[in-house]
Amino acid sequence: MSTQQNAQRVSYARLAAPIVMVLFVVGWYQFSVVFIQQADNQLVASGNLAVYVPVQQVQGYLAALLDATYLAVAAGLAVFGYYLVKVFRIRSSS
Amino acid sequence: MPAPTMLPEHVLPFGYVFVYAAFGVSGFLLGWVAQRGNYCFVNAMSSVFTTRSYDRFGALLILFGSSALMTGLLVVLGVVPAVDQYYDNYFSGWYIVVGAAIFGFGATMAGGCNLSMLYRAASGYVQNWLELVGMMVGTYVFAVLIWPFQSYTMANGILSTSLGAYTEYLPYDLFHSVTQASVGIAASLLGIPLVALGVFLQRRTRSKRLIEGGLSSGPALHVAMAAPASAGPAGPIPSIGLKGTRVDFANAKELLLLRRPYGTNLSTLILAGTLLLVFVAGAGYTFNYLVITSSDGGRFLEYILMPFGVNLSLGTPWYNDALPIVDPSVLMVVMLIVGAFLASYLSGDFKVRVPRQRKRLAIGFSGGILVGIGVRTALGCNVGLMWTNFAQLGYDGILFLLAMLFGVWVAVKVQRRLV
Repeated sequence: MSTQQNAQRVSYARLAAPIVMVLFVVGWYQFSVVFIQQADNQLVASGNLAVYVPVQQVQGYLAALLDATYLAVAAGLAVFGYYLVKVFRIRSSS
Repeated sequence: MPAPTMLPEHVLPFGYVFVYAAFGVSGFLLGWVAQRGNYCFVNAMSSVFTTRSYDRFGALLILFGSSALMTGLLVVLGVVPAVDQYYDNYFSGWYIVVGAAIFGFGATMAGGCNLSMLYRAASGYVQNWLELVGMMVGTYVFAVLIWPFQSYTMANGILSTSLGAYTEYLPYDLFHSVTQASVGIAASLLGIPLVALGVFLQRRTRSKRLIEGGLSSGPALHVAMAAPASAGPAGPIPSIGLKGTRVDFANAKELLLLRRPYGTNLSTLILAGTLLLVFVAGAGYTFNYLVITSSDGGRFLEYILMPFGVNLSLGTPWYNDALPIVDPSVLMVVMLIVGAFLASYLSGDFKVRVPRQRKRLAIGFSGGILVGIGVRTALGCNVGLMWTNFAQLGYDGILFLLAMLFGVWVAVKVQRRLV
């Protein structure tokens, strides 16, 4: 297989995609911890209970989200590692 | 006769962590299966007008009918109290018809319903990224310009019902009581004709294909009958793709290894299962059905603006009275994106795709704006209102379906003129 053909098989967007997913889920969790709780507190302070969510529910959301984040990060890193090895193999065989 | 209760009851005692986790799992499965089955409500409807194919539209009817039958059965068996089925039934009125028509038009132009928009966005389709952004803009436009007027008509019963809940519940509307018998009969009256019509339409389309393809006998017929609905010519008998023995194991292995897309009816079966999961897990805690657009069109914009010190829920119409700051659908949508991404990545489908015609990007964005306006006007999307309402044993889903079909039909006409 020629070097040109091998180069075509390596997609850096494909390599980066799992890392983007990992950053997305980690960022989402951090965002939820900081901003959603803060916004919920603002609703109480301003007396708007129509869209306020009880603390118990927010805690449930954050606990479930944390578990989901661990799973998504593990899956994202696993597929990233798999594709990284594949990229090294392709490059070393060229 | 006393009015039916309006006090929801918990079915499972595990608390909110479990409820959110169940919605997360459901979202993951929804994204994974919809991506593998290329499941799109809009494509199912537009194919009726473009290629005269009823295969996927039939699957949609089977999905709606089986959801109604299964949720109804759970209520009849006493697993889920009836109040948890009707508690969140919406009002009904002009806005559902108008909103669904706008949504059908916009989604067809943009190239995806709310479900397919998300899984395609996660699979790298840039046009659907822009549709998502357009939807957030459309939701804001709706909130500021339309919602104040719409909520006035809803509050005053102008071309609108004003109670919701059990008054929109077919067992109560038909029999003026909520009993296991009335729920069972209403679920059967709604669900069985839908499933029968769906199966009939699929068989008709597949028979037509066989005749047109000259597959009337011999080995070609067996090949066609074994093929899933999404993989080209298909046989006359709809199946979920797991019938038989030896072929089944081979098929299952191919499906599990992501070498083959899921058939339409297998996807339908699993999607109905995801709805049942949240129906039971969320009963008594929250809106125990599938919801997408409240989060991706509404909350995502709200969340994006929060780090800049803007909190829409404090003063902007709709955001400040109709949209809780967080609910299980948020986790569901996030996990839907993760599930769809992993399915597309592991199957080799993932690729960042920019349309060659740049005008498709503009159409995606503007279609997304219409989608945002349409779904919010209709009080929900093809998932959160249409599919959900069939499972709720309401009648808004029927209104939404007919109006959306009209919107899709108009969009198909417009697209033909543009091309």
